[in-house]
Amino acid sequence: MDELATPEKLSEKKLRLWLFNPFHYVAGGKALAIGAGCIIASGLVAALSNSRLDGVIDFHSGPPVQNPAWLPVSDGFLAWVLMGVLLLIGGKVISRSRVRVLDVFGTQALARFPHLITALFALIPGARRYSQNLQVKLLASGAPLQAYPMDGFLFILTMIVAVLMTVWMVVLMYRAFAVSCNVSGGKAVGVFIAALILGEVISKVALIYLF
Amino acid sequence: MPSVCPGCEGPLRVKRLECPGCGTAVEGDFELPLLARLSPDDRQFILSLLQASGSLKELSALYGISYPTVRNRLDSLIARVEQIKNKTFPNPEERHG
Repeated sequence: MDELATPEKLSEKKLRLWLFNPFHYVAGGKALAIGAGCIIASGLVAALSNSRLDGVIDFHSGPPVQNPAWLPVSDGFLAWVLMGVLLLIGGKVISRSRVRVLDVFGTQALARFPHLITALFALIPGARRYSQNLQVKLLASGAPLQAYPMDGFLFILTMIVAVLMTVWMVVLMYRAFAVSCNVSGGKAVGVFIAALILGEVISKVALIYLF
Repeated sequence: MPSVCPGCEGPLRVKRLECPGCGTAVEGDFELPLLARLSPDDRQFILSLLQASGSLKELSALYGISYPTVRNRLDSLIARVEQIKNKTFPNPEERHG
């Protein structure tokens, strides 16, 4: 019961909600505006490190070849539209509530915010250097990798952040689906996982043909 | 006002009503109205919705929460009302056999 909770417990609950279910507070047009801004910003920042967001939850640091900035931005928008459409269909099928298109797309856009943090970490020069060395030397020619130990540390740190941000993003995407379609339980989890897998496959195929 | 028994969690019934002015008492076996059987939180929500002229958008601004959160809360409340309406409240005499 909230009224019996201490102020510390209440603020802790609020913080947890903001971190893992911000859709309790923000949805619709506001979420769409913030989310679209995050998708654009993530794409532009990713372009600076030649990274791609090629897939519904993917983030790949790129080779030392400059990609046009619109490419990772388009990746983000494609992933968002795909997940929005799939979860909207899934939500309409299993939800007993009225599902608003604006809520589904708005919350799904906002759920992509963690990609921005990953993109910012991918900018760290040492991590980029190590990643590019890894791709060019070790993977392409099989030559032994020579790198500064600090670069290796920064690369591992970036990888850990990327994994954590991906997990956070998936949690946010599920919570966005649950709130915007008023669904929960096994059925909701099943539809979400199916949409995620289907979205990943479609996005990979679409990226081959589109860009 | 409590609506469920603290002992067995069964629905409470009204046995006696009294006028504070003249002291006249009416005794009987009355079922609590549906709204009174909802939790205080649910009653407050209905009251706020009424004051917002039924606008969920206005209510979401008032509570500082998103529109779908308010709508989901309303859907849960509708389900709760349906549950209460479909529940049969046995007469205490019938219950005790």
